[in-house]
Amino acid sequence: MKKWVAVVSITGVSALALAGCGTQSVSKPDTNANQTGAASQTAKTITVLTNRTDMQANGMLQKYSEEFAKTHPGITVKWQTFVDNSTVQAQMNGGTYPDVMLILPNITPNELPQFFVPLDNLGLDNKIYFKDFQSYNGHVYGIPTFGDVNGIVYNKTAFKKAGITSVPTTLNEFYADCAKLKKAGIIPIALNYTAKWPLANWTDTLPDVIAGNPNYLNTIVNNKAPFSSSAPMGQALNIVHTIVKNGWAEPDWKNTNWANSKTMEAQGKVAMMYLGQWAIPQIVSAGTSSSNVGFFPFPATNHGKPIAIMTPDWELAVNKHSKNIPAAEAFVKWMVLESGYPNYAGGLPPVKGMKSNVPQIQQLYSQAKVVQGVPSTTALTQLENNSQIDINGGGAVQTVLNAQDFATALQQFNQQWANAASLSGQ
Amino acid sequence: MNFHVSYKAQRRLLIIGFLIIPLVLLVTFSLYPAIKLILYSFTSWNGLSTSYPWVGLHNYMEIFKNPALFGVFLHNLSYFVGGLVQNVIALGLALLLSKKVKVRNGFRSVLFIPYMLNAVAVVYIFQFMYQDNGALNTILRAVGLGGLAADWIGNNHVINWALAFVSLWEYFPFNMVIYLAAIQSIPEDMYEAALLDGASGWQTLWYVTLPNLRAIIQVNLLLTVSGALEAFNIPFIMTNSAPAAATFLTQTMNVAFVFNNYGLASAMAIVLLVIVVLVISIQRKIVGGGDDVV
Repeated sequence: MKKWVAVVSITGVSALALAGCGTQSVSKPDTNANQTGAASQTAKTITVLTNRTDMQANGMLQKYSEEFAKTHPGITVKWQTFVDNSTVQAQMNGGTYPDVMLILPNITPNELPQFFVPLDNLGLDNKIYFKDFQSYNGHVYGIPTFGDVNGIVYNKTAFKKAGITSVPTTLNEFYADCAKLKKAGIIPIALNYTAKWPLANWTDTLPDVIAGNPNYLNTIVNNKAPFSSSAPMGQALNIVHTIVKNGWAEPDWKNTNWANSKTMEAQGKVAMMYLGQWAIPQIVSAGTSSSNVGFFPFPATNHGKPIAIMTPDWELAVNKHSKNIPAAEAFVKWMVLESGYPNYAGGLPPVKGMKSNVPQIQQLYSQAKVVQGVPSTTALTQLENNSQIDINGGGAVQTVLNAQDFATALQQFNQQWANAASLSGQ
Repeated sequence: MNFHVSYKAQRRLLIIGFLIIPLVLLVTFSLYPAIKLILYSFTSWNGLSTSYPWVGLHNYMEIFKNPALFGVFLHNLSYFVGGLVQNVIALGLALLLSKKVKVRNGFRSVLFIPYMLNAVAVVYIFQFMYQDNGALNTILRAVGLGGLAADWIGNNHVINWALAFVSLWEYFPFNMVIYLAAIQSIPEDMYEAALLDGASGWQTLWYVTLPNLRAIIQVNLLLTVSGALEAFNIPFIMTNSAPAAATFLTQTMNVAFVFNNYGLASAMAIVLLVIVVLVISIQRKIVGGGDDVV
């Protein structure tokens, strides 16, 4: 049986996954577009991609379809959920994918026009944040569903128990507070090593915060040794390394469970986690009151007010091959302006002037200089892929924490980085 | 209305008729993807783009040059050793169960349970068992063997053996059942002849049972070796393919789905295939056995 499992995994999984999606995209005949234009009165169905399997289960998606149909008679909205990006990627490569898409994180800006229509004419330009986050050659291809801001989500009771009266504003204070929490028998900060993605903030946000520049990561493509301990990336990794070295992370930090971490923070057994504001409602619903959960910017340095970077979460886009482009565009506009989804998701509303319903965001804003994030350049993504250093997914943090020697691990990264840079330079 | 179709033509028609569907399935789902896989392995395709930049043998060279890719075979080694132990245990239990033991069928069912459990559930069970304050360490400490308690997942020297043990525990019943079936199909008269010649129990085992099992041992070893080289689900589920437990297949997945290098990942899949074929040929040479069972 093992053999068959194995054979299937070679020829079946790898081959299908790697090869099956290799068909060239077939461009739809133009006649389709003309027909729909003429028959605009007839019923249309659009498919919308979503990562919210939970909202399918609790009926929210169905409710959105109904709400949308009230103001847009004749347009039926169907949802397609996904858990794994690669399945969507296979669809995209095959040329048949949902009318309203989410822009997968690995799509580089220069690939946007291959898959999506420009959304310059939706009239959202001045109303929304991050309007040119997903753009290429001056055209906008993505509209954010909501925004995120990262910081430390903490349990106030745990802080009180350890005798911490105010949140740390410098790195040294942060370390001192970790030590106090440990002394009080509380796990100072949960890293969630096993889940891997919660580690991403340490490499894809913290270096920008340390540098005080939301564009810092984009500049490391020209840096031969961005992982040196003096560079912001090296400093960021050093912070997480210090946490583990001093026993401030989970006692069993290599065998962790994300759902469990949320409960432990709700119960005050874990004091902090470095996540986005979206985690706050989840921790509250894991068993505590909202007033017991606080949020402060990562005190990344020992001087000055830290910056907090707002970045867009998933962005909506419209399929270039869709038969119902106007209907899809109308849906995107509705989703952003009228659905109420940003607040449902606990995110920052992408529409200027709309208030967030997560009270902790005000706490963070009062202590940080809030700046808008900058999209990753194609060059950065390519260099990450070629050097096989997983900055965006938390893999790099895993590698460093797992290494026998911290300094050697950084050196190794620098070497991988330099090798990849010299190859792409040719 | 008489159809004058010769017997020969009828036969040909029938054969074609019966073969067409399996052949179409084989070509669509096996051969075509395999050929595509080989073609991709010479490109630097990113999994999405419509362009497939040809890079020649660069991907293959990269695999052997980059220790992060090829070095993880060291982790696969523990699964291989675990697999050998697994076969010894399976064969031993099969020999025991082929004798007239009390409640033989009861033992058989109980021993077969690990294999019937949902593979993902098994991994989760062990994930809890291996926690610092999990069942395993608790029991070890309770019986005074606290010194043996380890950080099963956290310690880089232990983790792969701990994971290989999960594989052993899960798959030995399958090997056992195959051995058992083979032992029971050995003709009784051979044993009678041996008995008449005055052979001892060990002699019967060594000169009658094992030679008759050679082909089956061959099959089981093949399954073990390829399973060890392709260890995937256990590290993937238990550790989310963390660096300390990465195997060649989890690295392949990473290269494809994290770093979007489908070309390199395809090359890795081909290299793995070649290695499996090589190792199995070597193993066949060593174990011998003329029958073409596999």
